[in-house]
Amino acid sequence: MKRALSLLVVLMLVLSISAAAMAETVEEALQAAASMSNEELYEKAKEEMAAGAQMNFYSTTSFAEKAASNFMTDYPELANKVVYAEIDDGETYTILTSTIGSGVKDSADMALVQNGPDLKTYLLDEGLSYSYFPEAMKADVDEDNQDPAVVTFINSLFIYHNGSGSINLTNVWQLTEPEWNGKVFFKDPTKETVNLNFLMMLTSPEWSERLAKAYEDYYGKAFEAGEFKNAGYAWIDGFLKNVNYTYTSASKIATGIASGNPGNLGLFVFSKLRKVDEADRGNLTVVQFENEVEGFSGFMYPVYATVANDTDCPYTCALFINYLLSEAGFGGEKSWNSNQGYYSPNKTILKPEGLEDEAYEYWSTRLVFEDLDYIDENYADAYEFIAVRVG
Amino acid sequence: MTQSYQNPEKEPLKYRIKAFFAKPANILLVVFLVTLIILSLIPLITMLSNMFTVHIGTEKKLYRMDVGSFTLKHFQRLFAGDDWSRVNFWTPLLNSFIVACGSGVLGIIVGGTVAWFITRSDLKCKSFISSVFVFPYMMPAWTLALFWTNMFQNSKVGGGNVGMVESVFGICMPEWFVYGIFPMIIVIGLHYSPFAYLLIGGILKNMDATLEESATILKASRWTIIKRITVPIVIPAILSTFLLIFSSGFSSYTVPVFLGSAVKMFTLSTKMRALIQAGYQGQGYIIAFVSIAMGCFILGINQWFTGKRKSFTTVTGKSGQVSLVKLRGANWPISIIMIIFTVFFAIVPLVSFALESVIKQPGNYRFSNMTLDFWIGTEGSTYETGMISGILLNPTMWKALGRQVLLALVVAMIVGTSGMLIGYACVQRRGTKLSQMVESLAFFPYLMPAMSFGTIYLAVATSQSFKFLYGTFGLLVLVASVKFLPFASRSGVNSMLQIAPEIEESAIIFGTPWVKRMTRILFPIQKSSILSGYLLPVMSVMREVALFTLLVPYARYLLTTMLFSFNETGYAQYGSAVTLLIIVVIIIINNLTNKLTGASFDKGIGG
Amino acid sequence: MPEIILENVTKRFDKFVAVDDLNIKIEDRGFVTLLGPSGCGKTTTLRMIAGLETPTTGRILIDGQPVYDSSKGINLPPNKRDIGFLFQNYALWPHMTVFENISFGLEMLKWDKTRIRKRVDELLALLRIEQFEKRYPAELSGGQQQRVAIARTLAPSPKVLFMDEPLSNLDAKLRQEMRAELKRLHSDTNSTFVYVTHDQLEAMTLSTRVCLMENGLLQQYDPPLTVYNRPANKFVASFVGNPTMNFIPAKKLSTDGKGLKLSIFDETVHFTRKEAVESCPDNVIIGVRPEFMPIKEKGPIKGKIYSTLPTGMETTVQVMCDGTMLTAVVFGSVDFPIDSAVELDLTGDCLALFDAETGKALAYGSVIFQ
Repeated sequence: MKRALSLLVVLMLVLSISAAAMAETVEEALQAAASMSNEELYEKAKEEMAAGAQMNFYSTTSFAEKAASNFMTDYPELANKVVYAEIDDGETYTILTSTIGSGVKDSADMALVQNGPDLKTYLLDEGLSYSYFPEAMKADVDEDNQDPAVVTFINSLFIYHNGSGSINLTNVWQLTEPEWNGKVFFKDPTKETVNLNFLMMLTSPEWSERLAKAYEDYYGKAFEAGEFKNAGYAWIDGFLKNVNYTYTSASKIATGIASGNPGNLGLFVFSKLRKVDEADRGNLTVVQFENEVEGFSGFMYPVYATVANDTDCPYTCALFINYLLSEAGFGGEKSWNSNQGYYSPNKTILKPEGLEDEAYEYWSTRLVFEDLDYIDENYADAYEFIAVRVG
Repeated sequence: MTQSYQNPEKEPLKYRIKAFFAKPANILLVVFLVTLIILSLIPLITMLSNMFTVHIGTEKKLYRMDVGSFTLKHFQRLFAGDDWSRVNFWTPLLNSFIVACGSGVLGIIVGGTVAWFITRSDLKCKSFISSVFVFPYMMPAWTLALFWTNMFQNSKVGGGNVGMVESVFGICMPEWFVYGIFPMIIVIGLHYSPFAYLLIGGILKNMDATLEESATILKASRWTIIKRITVPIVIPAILSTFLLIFSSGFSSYTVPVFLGSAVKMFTLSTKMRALIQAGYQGQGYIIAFVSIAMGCFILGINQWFTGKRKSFTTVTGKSGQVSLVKLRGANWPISIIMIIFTVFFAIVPLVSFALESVIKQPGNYRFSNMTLDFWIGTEGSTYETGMISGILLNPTMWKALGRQVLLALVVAMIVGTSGMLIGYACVQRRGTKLSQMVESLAFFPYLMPAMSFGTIYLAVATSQSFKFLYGTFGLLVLVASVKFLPFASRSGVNSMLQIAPEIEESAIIFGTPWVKRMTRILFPIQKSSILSGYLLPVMSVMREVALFTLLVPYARYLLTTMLFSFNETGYAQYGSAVTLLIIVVIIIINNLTNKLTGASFDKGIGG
Repeated sequence: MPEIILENVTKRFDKFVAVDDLNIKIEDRGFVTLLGPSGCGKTTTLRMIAGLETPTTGRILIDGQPVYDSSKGINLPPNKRDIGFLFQNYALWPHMTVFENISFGLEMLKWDKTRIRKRVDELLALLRIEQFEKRYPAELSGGQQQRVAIARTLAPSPKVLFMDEPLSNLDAKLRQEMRAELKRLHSDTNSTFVYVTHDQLEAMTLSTRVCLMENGLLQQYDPPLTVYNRPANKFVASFVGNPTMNFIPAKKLSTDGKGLKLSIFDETVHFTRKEAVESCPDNVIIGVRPEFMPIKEKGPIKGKIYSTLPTGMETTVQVMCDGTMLTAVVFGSVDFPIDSAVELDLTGDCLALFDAETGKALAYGSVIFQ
């Protein structure tokens, strides 16, 4: 009896050790996947699906749904295996941190998320999710955009109602003047993290310097910090005083300004112009397409892909990310590239002809970009400063 | 010599326990006590502990402490007394308080007035007014807020978008009228006024008319009677209505989002959400706790008022002979005002939703601008719609509707049955500590703001022991059942109070087993009232969103979460279409049940 | 002083006629009882006089003043009619103390505080409820609540006091007590009382006149003893009196001047009337109060004891005679064995003769067995 028991214990021990040795962690799988070809990944993905997996992915951008259906057309054996779930920006991290690692069935295998700093803080730093980037693409994508992998950039631009002629916005400091009070429309930054990140970035040394220079050009005198830490904080203070939060989403800002009072200005997602009814669309002018704006013309934020640490289909996720980074995935029918305001980090993918838009390269010098590390380090300071001014 | 029976000092414990559980009511009470403790106290404790612990992300970084370690920093920060405290706590607290009180008062004035006219006067068109007046309660509150802005927004406020009133009458309402505290009070107050109407109306209907008649004979004027007799007697009902509206108003999230942002007016719940989202969870949970504490405070006042001495059990005697107050010359004017009022808040929104759902370009009501694409359009439709097709042809929408209806029905079954059983058990053992505890525990979930309730249950459902729940339909059922139990248990207690104990006792004497007594005697007697108790949760589930946003696997899982995301992101036409759909479904369910059983949801509250 | 007159008062609820063409006159300082089985329209009548209910047609005058007149569109509200009303369930306001309940009506009359205080104290003493002044109704027993309700009603000294079954919620002993009190109150207060009850004993003991109603129709309006002794019809006869009147079927054999020859239980009797009757149908019923049906050793009616119900002071004896159950009352406690043979007589001069078909009273008189 005793002997049988000890035998059992030994047997179990051996079994568990060998099982651990055999099983590949998600991290390892992703590393392996990075150097595989799409064909190899497809084979692996089919194996995963055959083992009963299903790839659930959460996304804050609805175009991902279209991309997923194109993906399944191109990889027919994965049909019905890629399931898209829309997720609200505000809840992304609450839901992801709660579900990843909890072993909940059908929770996210991967997610397309915005707001890099939160991705880093809540998921990557905690080991809840991993970044993945294919070796083969490394040449076509800037290194900054590889870890975590950016699948698309989205820009928010100064756009105004042209009913009373040009507003002649040439310097961002104009927007801190009292005449703009209540006429600048922006989504509440405490409710939309990418907007928050944009404001936070202005407090960075790089952007506050740029703003100080713009200040000097506009007012003809050097910027004096006074009660503020730097020009970035001073601009935020002046800007938020003028901001009007009537509209609760970018689409509403777009349609609201288009049908509202002439001379109103919004800083909102460029791609939302597609939501504006054709009859009104002529009312809107993108400031940057009229003239250069000293300071910046808006901001650009990335959408990242991240793979959950408990996924049962890392290879399928990898294949999907590869797909999103490719011409087929990004530029497929009715997907990101056919619209204004979406830019692939893959420099070989250009905006199609005839679209009133510019390439990623063009915007990269004119817009404010997120810097994960800067925001991460200065979060509390900047957040409190901004939150108090939202009211 | 035979041994005489000696009365022991105390019965042995064993026998006492046995005797205790011989009564089905006691078994029920114990079962519900345990269940309710688990289902409502666990979230509460989770929340309390969240107020004192460090969370992942911002807090961890900021305080340089391990996740989960004890801290008082959340309190220190939130109550530091600087701009941060003012902006994140004190000002929103004041705003929430004003909105909650204002909407409570407005709801009671409007609902109470209508209730009085309907039950106590010879007003014209009563059945029309009373059936239409409850519509706003069926609509999700924020859709009324959207209706308000659609009506009154104008070229002088916000973004200068022209609303219906300006385009038709050329009138520009001032900003305070369109955005901020005033419309919030109007919208929340009117949304809940049908609720006040049903509750107060129920009491007025059951109130012995002779109480008023005897004052009439003593030469009291109509007004004096209302002031000195009617109102004080319905005060408990008024107070509990106030409590319910106050709690809802205080924790309302959706309405302030649509009406407050334009004037930078924030309430505690919008701040709570912003703080949690920004990573200041600890402070967010403190705010959630304040909302609950506020509800408990009002509840305390309520119970103090309805103390033992004055004992307001007024349902006595024959009250069949209610003589209606003659409004005489004022009848038509009052009736017309009432009709206009109910039509404006109940019918006009529906018409405006219908209109909004068929126009391509908002604000332009010309026929050329109309389309049915948002209802029955197919994929080929020209404009960017955000959805693949019109809602009636969209499988996602039908699935979401199906889930919502199923959820509503399942929750109603659970909640209605529990409410009835709690009512039975509490009435049977009325006055005992146990029954008081069950009654107040069953009411407790009402005081928990839906938003924080959802957040807490998300935390519970993703913990190791309950992870099987996450993302399942069962979780939604569970959460909604707990959240909507308060109404059902109230209505259960009310309907059981109306059954004389002799009725059950006579069945006991015949040796009828408990289950038979319930199903053959008690249930049939109060059938319509009990069934109405089942209907109320149906409606609550059909229009609830804040509770579900965090718990649904994705926004389009349920119809309401889908609707909220439509409204928030600006798919006005789809939003209006879905709102209409929800109201139509509620009305269908209500009428169907009414036809089949004579119950209707308005009977559920009045008891 | 007030006199209440109802002329052709009719009240219809949809198709149901609650009160049908009622004509009564309530004298000043009278104590009138509206009596009848439930649903007979008595409460409706009371509420119409008080102004709580509006008649469909007719005219009501209080103190010569029309308070309701359907032809002239007059309808005074209750507070203009100078009345008091005591409700069946007392209708005490649960949120007011005893004092507040009583003083409410005086406040409405804008009395000053000291005067109110004095009047309330008076009433508290009159009804012996001084010690409950500060209590709430829920803290009082039924009898105490009733006294408070009376005090509240009496406080403004109404000239007319309406009472709707005020004693029906009390137990038998308390009811007995309160009856006596009400009767005293009536003489103390100098008011006119109109009282609704379904209890004939209450009506008999309290009132100066009884108004008996059935199905909305007035049956008889007379002083209680008249109603008792000379019931207008079989319904009145059977409703008033306990134990109830005996009805003996009879056949007319012949008429002779003031007398009639009748056949009952195969016996021939001579019925002597007090006044002439125009005509008499062939089938009649003789109504005999139990106290006029003595059990004798030798009597003309033979029967068997059905049951004996002794109460101590008197004994009710039920006798089966030829298929008809008769009730007799014997003074003192007597116990007859069941089924023993007894013999009965008919005495007294208040036997009533009813038309067997219509139930209408034809005559009152006495019988002699031949």
